[in-house]
Formats: sequence, structure tokens, C-alpha cells
Amino acid sequence: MSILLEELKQIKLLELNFFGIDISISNGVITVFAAAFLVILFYSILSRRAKIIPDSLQGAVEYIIQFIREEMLAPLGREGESWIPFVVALFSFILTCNLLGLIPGLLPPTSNINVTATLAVMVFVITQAAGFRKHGFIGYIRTLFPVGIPLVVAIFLFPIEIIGQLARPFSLAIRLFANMFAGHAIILTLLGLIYVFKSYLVIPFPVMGTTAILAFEIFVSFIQAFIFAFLSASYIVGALKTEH
Amino acid sequence: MGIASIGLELAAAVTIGAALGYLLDGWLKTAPWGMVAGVVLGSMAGIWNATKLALKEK
Repeated sequence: MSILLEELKQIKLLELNFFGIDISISNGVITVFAAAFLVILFYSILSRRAKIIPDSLQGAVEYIIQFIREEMLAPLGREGESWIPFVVALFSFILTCNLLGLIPGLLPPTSNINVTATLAVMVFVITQAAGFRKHGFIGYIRTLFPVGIPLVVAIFLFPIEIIGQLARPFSLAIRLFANMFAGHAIILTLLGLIYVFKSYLVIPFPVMGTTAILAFEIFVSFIQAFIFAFLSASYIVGALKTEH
Repeated sequence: MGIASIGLELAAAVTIGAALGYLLDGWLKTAPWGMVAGVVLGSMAGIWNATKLALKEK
């Protein structure tokens, strides 16, 4: 079993230290770089060969962008246009990271809590910064509360709202990490049955189970990337919207 | 879609509230009251967040 669990460990390929902080290049870091490179490459090629009458691939990407514009960022109107690249990049990067984990020998970077926490904190900081920039300090704090509530209720609601805001990056990070990690953990558990029973008769069940879970992981990869992008967009809309 | 994440939203707020309360206890030496208040406020924040999410879906 311990051999199987080794699969989930990060292997340091290049030891690096920055003032006592470990910034070593591990196999996970390489996969993150590969995912970023693939996203940039995909959109560069697609934008170069873009046609007025789109082919199936261009049509699919245009549909995603249209969905983000008209469904996720619609309440912001024209202001939402400037946020489309951010949400599309977020969706594409997370989806690529998730799908890279399906290649044998590779782990999805999103099954590492450090990656998902970084993404969630980035979304949190950007959202809050955009809110403060648009409404100003007092104005933004005011938008956190429903319109017309008495001052006493607002004072009571303030710590609740602060905890609520801080819980968002936490839930974003845990959701993506747990879903991606769980898939691989289930596969390892199924394959572990072969080691536990040490019999050829057991083999068909873990193999069938692994195949089914892998197929399901493709679906989970899309769903989780979509949920992360959807919630990030809804937090952006919440921070920038004028009325509450 | 947001409805699916209500459960996690609730749990996350309670965890953050408890963690903030725990840190406050360590800083002000008020254990266990900071954590108790944190859990109560976290639960309220979780319900508040979940309500907002549900209303948005509606």
C-alpha cells in the first residue's frame, strides 16, 4: 500500500531556497507550468486561426465566453466585459490542471491544497481590491449590508459579514482540492485491493472501478473548473454591483 | 449551481469563525470564550452566506 501512496507525494526535482522559504521545483510545479503554457498556446493558436464562421473548436470556446458574459457577469453590464479574460483564464487554467491529472504518471496540480489555496486567495484579493477601488473604503463596507438596515443591526452584522467574506476563499480552495484529490484517492484505494487480497480473482473489480472513476473524473474536471469560475464571477459581481 | 455549494459554505464559515476565535484567545488569553464567540458568529455567517446564495439562485 505504501508504494501506492508514494504516487501522491511531490518529488523535488530542483532544490531551491529563498531566504529560508522552500521554493523547490517539484513535479507538481512542472505540471502547473505545463498547464499555464498549454492554455497560452491554445488561445494563441485559436486567436490566430479565428474565422468569421467558426469551426467546432472556435464555436465551443466562443460559447463559453458568451456564457460567461451573458450568464455570469451579466449584472455588471459593460463593466463586466473587462472581467471576461480573467474568468476565462481561470476556467481554462483549472480545467487544464484537472485534465492533466488524467494522464498516467501525472497528478492534477489542483489535488494539491497549495495550488487551490493560491488560486482562491488570488480571487479573494482581486475581488476585494476591485470593490475598494470602485466604491472607496466606506462605500465598499456599505455595499456588504442590505440597503436600509438600522445602524445597530449593521454593527452586529459587521463581524458576521467579515467571517462570511473570509470563508469564501476557504470554501473555494477546499472544494476544488477535495474533489480532485478524492478521485485519485478512490483509484488508489481500489488498486490497493489487489495488494490487500493478493489474488488474481480480485483484479477485474478494481480495474473496472478505476475505469469508471477515471471516466467520472473527466466530468468532475469540467464541473469543478466551472464551479470555481462561476463562484469567482459571482464574487466579482457582488463586489462591483452598486445596489445590494 | 451555487446551491450545490451551500453545505461547504456553511462549514467554511464555522471553521473560519472558530479559527479566528482561537487566534484571538491566544492573543488576549480569553480561552475558551473567543472560540465560543467565533463558532457562534461563524455559524451565523454561514447561514447568512447560504441565505444570500439561495436568494441569488431564486
